[in-house]
Amino acid sequence: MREVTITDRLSSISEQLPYLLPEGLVAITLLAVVLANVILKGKDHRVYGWITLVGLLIAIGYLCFFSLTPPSSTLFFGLIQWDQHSQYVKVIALLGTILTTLWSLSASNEKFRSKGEYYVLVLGLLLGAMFLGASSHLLMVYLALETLSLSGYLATHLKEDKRSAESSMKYLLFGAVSSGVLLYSLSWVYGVTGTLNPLSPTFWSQLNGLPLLAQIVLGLGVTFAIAFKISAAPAHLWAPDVYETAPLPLVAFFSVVPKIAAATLLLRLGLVVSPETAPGLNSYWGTLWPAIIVATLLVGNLAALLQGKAMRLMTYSSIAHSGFLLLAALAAPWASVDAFRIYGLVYLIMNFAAFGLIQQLHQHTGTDRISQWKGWGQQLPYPAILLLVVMIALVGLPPTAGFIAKLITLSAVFDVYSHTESVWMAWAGGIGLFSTVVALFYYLKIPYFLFFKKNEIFATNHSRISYREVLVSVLTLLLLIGFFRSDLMLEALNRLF
Amino acid sequence: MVPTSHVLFLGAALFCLGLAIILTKKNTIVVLMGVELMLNAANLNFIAFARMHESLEGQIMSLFVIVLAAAEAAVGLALVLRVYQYFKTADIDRINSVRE
Amino acid sequence: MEDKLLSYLIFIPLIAAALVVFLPSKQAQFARWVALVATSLNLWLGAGLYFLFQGAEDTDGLALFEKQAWFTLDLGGLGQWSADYFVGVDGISITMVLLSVLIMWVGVIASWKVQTKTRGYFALYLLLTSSVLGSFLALDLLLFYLFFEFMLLPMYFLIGIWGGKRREYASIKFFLYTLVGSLFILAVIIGLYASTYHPEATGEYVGVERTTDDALSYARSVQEDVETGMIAQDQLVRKLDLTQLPDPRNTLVDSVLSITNHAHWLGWSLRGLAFLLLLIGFGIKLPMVPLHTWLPDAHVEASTPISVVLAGVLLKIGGYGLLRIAYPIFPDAAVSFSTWVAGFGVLSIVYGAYTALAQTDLKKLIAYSSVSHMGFVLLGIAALNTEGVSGAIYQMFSHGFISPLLFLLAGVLYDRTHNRNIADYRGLGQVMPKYTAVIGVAFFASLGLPGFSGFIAELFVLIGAFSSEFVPTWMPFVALLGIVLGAGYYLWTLQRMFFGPLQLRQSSWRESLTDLTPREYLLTLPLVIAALLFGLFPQWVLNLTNGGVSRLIEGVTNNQALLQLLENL
Repeated sequence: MREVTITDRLSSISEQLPYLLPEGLVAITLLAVVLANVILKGKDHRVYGWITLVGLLIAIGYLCFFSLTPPSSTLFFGLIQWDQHSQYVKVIALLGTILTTLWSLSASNEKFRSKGEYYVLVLGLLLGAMFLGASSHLLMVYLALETLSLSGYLATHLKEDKRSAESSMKYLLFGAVSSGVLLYSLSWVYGVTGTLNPLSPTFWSQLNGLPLLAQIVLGLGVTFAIAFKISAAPAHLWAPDVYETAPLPLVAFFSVVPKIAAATLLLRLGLVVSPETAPGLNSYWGTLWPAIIVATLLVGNLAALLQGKAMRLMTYSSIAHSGFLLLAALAAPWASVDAFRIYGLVYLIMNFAAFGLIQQLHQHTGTDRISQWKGWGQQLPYPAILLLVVMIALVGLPPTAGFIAKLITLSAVFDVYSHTESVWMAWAGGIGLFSTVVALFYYLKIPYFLFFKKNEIFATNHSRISYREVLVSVLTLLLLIGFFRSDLMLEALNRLF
Repeated sequence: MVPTSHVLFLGAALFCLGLAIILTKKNTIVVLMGVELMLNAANLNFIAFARMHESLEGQIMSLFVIVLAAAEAAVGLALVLRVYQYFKTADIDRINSVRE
Repeated sequence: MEDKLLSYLIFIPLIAAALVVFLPSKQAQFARWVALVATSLNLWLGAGLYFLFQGAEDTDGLALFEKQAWFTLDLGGLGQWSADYFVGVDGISITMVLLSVLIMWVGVIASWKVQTKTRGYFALYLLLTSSVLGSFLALDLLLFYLFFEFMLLPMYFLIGIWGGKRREYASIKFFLYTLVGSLFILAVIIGLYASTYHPEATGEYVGVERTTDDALSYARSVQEDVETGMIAQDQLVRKLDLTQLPDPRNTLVDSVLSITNHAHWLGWSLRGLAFLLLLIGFGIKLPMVPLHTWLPDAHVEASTPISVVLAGVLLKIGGYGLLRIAYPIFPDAAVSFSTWVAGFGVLSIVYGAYTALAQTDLKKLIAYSSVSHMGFVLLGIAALNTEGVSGAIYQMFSHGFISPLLFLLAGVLYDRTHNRNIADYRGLGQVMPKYTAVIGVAFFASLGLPGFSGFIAELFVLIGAFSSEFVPTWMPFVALLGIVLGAGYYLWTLQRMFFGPLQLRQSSWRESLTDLTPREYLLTLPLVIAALLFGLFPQWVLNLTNGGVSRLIEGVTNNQALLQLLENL
């Protein structure tokens, strides 16, 4: 057998590079924004946003229409996975970032929207999410998580005020501790198995030799890291403060893109874990994760009930949705990957629509306190009705795609339950179903104040129709189409990859 | 040659020390130092295991960890500085403005 | 017979709703005209449906139907998920559809005086009309669920915006109760998707050759292929066709809802649990004591036309759902729970009547009498024989215009004085003789006097219950007590409010208490006449329902026997 030389390795890297072109385009865009910032001597300008937008559109266009399929799904010596899941996360992350950029550009009177570093950080977050979705090697997982986290800490403080400094620092401390625990447990995983690649066969055979308890302890680091990124209870504590103080479009991003990327990681792990390979780790899927999901659903929904501000309500509701996302990701390896894919896509659409509309109402009313929105349904009927539809989608009622997503997810959970008879899974599914009642209560609070309450005093500042309004209408329409023709939604997802 | 287990004990001690610091200390800079200890505990483990398995993966991992730990420290210190400007303190318990 | 007529019934109000939304705000007063035209068209189509229906039932029992593919999702391990736009009428739904078109038309006329936010009101009203008709016509469970859920939102706003003082509380309570109920139903839908398949669609998907034109034998051959494992699990097409689901062979043997593997959860048989979930889900809508507490609040706070629609049509969806979904699909569980269902029915009858006695608000009294009357529906369904089920359907039909009549009449009084307190009036007969006459007739119709439709319905239910093997004999006796109590509260109210010397709490009401106007006659008289006609000529309704009911009973008993056989194997 011929020795593998360094030249062979380099040439194989250069051969595989084209498959990372979407990531490359994002990285180039990032550099272009930095360059523009240098050319403009750090002055605030809207051009950064436009550069970002153009770069992202090129990247997503390339990804959707010209993307090359590599001969093997494992690239770069097992560091990167190229499969339907990675492609899915890339598309979702790019879509989310494009919407974030659009929302940022349309945020009037906000300082951050013309700052170069804002877009650099958003693109950094995007890169982290894209790589997280494509990594199965634990080194790559760590790198992607850190890219996401480091950009996230800084982006939180972009408003540059007292409160955001505090929440971003707390976020950093949480994140640093979680990555410390992750690394230490990874070091032991490496020690036991001799590799950091879960796809290699020795990884599982060595793990299998360990006692059950040791397997469970080793899994804690990764579990905590995923739970932290997806803001699942009990690792959700950072989320409310960060969401409240970060720029609004970024909150929409935080509540969708990293979550879907982290949930994909869970899905990937689920695909390789099985009762035969590692019974201890497998118990995570039957017991620990469902328990985390139950806690997340309860915390998210119950805390959302108490919120008086639209943004804080969305924070906790997105924690509740994390529970659902995890549920879909957990059930996916056994039942259907499509449930997860549809849930993620629909969640992206409805969350960005909701944030766009809340931003709109905030700009008109000057507050995000829901009780101050009373009677505005009369004044702004169009956004108010759109918001009603989006809220119904978030609750998960027909006739919106939110219903289909919830239905399929719960069916997948049901399927897993009927095959594994895991009681925790049944509880998670049942609580997921009945959290809808609680969700209805808090989501409908917004239309309730908009339509049911009367308010005589109005500031009259009708503005012309913004492109954000058009976009939100399109997103809302997609939610309706996603219900009546859910097959088209699935077909679009399948056709891409 | 130092047996691997000695290094692992040192790593475990460092990790526990770091964890203890994080849980008990209130000064943010000290907490960041605790995190640093945890990361280095992991690094020691990685290197020790790399030697045990005679593979390079662990060493590469520890190199990346060192780089990222530096980045994290930079970001962390910058944020602590900002917080200090606003609050005139680095005590976690006294930094409390969001939930009012 | 395949026909587009049913779709017109659903889509005319929907299109009208869109029209109303896009009316320019200056033309807002035309909204009511649009609504009137749409519901009148529906009424006319309903009449057409009545004539088309006569003798048009084919072997499936469907007189008219329309079927179009809606969507199919290829969900990998979960198999093919599919749903159809499948609507149809048979003997179970025909009376409900006719009732709905009539009551929704009456509701528009009753809403004529709505002045605030007219466009919003009529748009929501038309949406409600469309979804009500949709839920009675849908024969695909997912489609049914769509309409069923979609009823909630318009109703929530109609109560919450145009209601009385505590409207917000009432509308949220209504929404939460019904949403909990519909989630129970959703849980069963998920279970059914996981456990059943559609033989014909599966055969077409896999490519099983058709040897005969007979759909049944084709389905049988596909079922055999599935049972022998020729068709793999992930090739099954899962479609919740309500005409196919009752067939026990369409339930997968190793699934959670299968009869043979005796799946249990916390000591409950899963099929029993599924039936119980449906019973609760539809029981909330019906409403079944003790799940009824939303109803009095909703009625008291809703405006008159909304009360009319709520009592006249929406409650019936509960009973209809039991007949259409719960009983046919889970006949084994239905039989074992029959005593409970009947017990809840009797409890509703007696509790509703007893509570009605204590009410001081006229509308609340009528609301509780509704609870009592809907109890007969449960009792009749539980009897599971032709008399009982026919009686239950008859009761839904008859209550469908007697209770709107009562709410309209209560509304007449409220319009004049803005007060519905029974104790505040005495001797109304002196100033409003015609009103007194009509309300007297309505009361008698409601308490089940012979000659009115309520009597026939209750008679059938009681005969069914007495002769049923599933209902203990003491239950119909207790139900009789409910009828006596009913006579009690109506006669007492009549005596308190309308007879004797005139006494009003405020003398200023004297001028405003005018007798019925022509519009009010137009509203009430057709309903009075209907109550009388269907009391004298019950065969008009029974002829429509007989075929459907006997098919239902036959199906339930046959499948129950089959399931028992399978269980004993």
